Amino acid sequence: MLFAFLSFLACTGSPQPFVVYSGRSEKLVGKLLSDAEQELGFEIEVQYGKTPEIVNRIMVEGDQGMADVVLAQDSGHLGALADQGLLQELDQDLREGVEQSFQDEKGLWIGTSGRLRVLVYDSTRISEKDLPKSLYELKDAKWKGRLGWAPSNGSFQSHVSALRSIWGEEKTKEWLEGVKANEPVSYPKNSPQVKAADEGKLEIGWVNHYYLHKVGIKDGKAKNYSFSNPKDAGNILMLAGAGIRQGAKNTEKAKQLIKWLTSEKAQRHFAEVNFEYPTKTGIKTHANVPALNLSQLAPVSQKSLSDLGPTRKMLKDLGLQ
Amino acid sequence: MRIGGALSALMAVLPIVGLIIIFSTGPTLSPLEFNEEESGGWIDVFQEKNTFSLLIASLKLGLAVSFFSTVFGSYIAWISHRTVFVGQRVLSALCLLPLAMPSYVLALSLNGLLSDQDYLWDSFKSGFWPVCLCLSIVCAPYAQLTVGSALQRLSAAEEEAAILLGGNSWRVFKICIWPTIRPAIAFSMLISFLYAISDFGALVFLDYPALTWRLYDAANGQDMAGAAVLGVGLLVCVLPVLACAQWLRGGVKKSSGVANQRAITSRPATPLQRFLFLVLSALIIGVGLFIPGIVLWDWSFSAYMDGATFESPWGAVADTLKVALLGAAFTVLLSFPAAWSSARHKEGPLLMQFVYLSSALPGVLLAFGLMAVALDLTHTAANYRLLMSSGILLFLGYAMRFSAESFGPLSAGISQIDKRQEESSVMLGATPWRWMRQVVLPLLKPNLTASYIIAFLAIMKELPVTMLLGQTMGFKSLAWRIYDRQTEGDLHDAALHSLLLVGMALAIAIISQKWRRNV
Repeated sequence: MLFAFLSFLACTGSPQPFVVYSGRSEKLVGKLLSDAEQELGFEIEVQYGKTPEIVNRIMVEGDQGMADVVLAQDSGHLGALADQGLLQELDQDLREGVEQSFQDEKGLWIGTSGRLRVLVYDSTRISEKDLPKSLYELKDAKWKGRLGWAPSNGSFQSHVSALRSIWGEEKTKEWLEGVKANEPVSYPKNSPQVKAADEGKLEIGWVNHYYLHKVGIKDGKAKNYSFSNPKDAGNILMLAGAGIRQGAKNTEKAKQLIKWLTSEKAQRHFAEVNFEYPTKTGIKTHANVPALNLSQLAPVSQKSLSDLGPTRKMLKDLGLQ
Repeated sequence: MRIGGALSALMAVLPIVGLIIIFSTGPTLSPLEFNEEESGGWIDVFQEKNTFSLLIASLKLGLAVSFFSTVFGSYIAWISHRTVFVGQRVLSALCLLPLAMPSYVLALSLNGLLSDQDYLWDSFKSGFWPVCLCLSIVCAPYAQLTVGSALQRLSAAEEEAAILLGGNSWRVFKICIWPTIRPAIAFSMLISFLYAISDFGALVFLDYPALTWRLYDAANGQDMAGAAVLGVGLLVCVLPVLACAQWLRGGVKKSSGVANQRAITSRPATPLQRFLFLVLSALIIGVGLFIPGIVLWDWSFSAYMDGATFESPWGAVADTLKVALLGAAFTVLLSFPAAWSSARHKEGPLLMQFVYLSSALPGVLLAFGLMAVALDLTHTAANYRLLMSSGILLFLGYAMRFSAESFGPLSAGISQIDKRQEESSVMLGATPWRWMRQVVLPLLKPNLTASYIIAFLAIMKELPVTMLLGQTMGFKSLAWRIYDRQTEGDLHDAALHSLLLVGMALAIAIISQKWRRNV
């Protein structure tokens, strides 16, 4: 009787409902997926979670998994799924119009929007010209007591993975030790750093660009800064993206959704509502977000951002986790 | 009931079985196996730098929280049930509410308050003491409810007889009262310990590295095997604590030998009792409710004045009520046979250990463990989906997670039932079901209520199990919405949902207080 009652509560629609596992929050993509439902004409069942848990879930579920499409907060985790053969190759027409550097090399996932790693600083305590020209300078002793970071944050770890690829293991370790010696304040996430900078409690933080526009900034003291050295290792674009699960039951609908996520309407949503960088060429960023200069970005493959295991080990060994 | 108890206890180990499946399964899950080149095998996770010291940190925190929360909660319960003075009922009800406060919300608001206080030593701004305070406040209501249920069943006749025979207050307490409340105290210490060692949110926001950090880190790094090993390692370390709790629980006073016991009449509180009660309740209510309440109100109200938009919370409120109402009922139902066995049968105490073990598992591991068992049993995607969407896994997850917490009041109450009442019922021709319905359940009303409230409030704020096992049913609870919004820095929206969560808990606590007084 209990089973029957519980089954009555179950919200199964069609025998094979179209399911999206979203590592992106409802706040960011809920409205977008709701719009997609209306425009594409089929029901989309979204299950939200932290990106690592979503990925774990897909790995544990294997062939019995429910997901058709996976939305991940960062391409590192999509790379992890791709490496395990858990994503399908996307058709060429799904990848058209998106920058080549914003896709997986083998076409297994596609970037839907980007977040730039930046420094957030208190403009009343330091001017832009006095900020470091490169990320590497943050290990200099002159920054002691003036920094903040969030080592447990996923974006931080993805960035360190990129540094290992760009600088190598030894130089990255040396840099982390140097910054650690400057006694940065550890924050659990990015948004508290932005607030702290705006309230005069933090001089320089290391965050994703869009928090400045999303968090309720009152005094206007906090500003974003990208390193002025071209192709500096500090100028990393974190891609959020999507892929189709290998073994998905609704592949055609999945393709329609992927195509919709890179359509003009969806891309404008990412830009104007979420303050993110669109991945489709020709779409402008929000008026308050500077346009992305691709030539300033560090030359690093998105795949390298997924190499999180050795990064976590390095951070643990350094006592940063 | 014996078989039911054994089944309940065995079901409690399902998540552990699932974790073993995750760890040991072959090629399809080979990505989750340890990279032998890098780590040298699964045993190496224990040899990694800091793992042992993190384990010690977890155990230290668990022991401290269990001590302080039990002292706080027991004293509040004592004063509530044994004395009377103006405002005592309201304050007692308010002291229960921190149970509904998510530990990470409390920790976040404490961190925001303490970090700005320049006059405080650094060790009081973050680290062990703030985390200990935070978790002790959240766990104190367990002791208050459990010890309170035990105190409600004390016999006035026994105490009066002891006094008449020349016993002083200490002897009356030692001989009449302590044997009755001892299992409740042992239970609440154990539950608080298990809660503290499996918590993660408070530890992150108040910066106290412990084993759950390493465990969540492994899970976030797609190293579920490593997380599973750490989880099982944590359980192994909990075993000695379970043994101590069992020893403390020992010497249970099975029944008073008095039928239709007369309840203790409350006396006016002495000035000292009143003072201590007020100080303690001010601490619990202040830290557990007032501070986060002010912070949450500030976030939401100032955002409202700035013209921010809020997500409609009513869908989440409805979902929270639904899962909590059903989940608590399922949890109590599943706990009852195990509680009966533990109080009535020789093998009962052993069965209890299984139930406690599942409570020690962090929610994310419990959910994945159940998922792995479900995958193994169903074999096809369609059956797996049916099982997930039926809610069985979700409510089973709640029962596994919170059975240990809710069955304590039940066990304490069952142990107080006079066996001669059962014998009399049998002699008068009552069937076991009739005896249960007309004698046992009415006697256990306060214990069932306490058990249900504990489970209800705990489920309301639960996150990992709801997120992983509940979304196929379409449930998106207030706790989930709080997490979702604070992830994106929408603290005003997270604050509004948090205020609603606490408001619902307040309503439940007030209604239940009124009902328990009338029982």
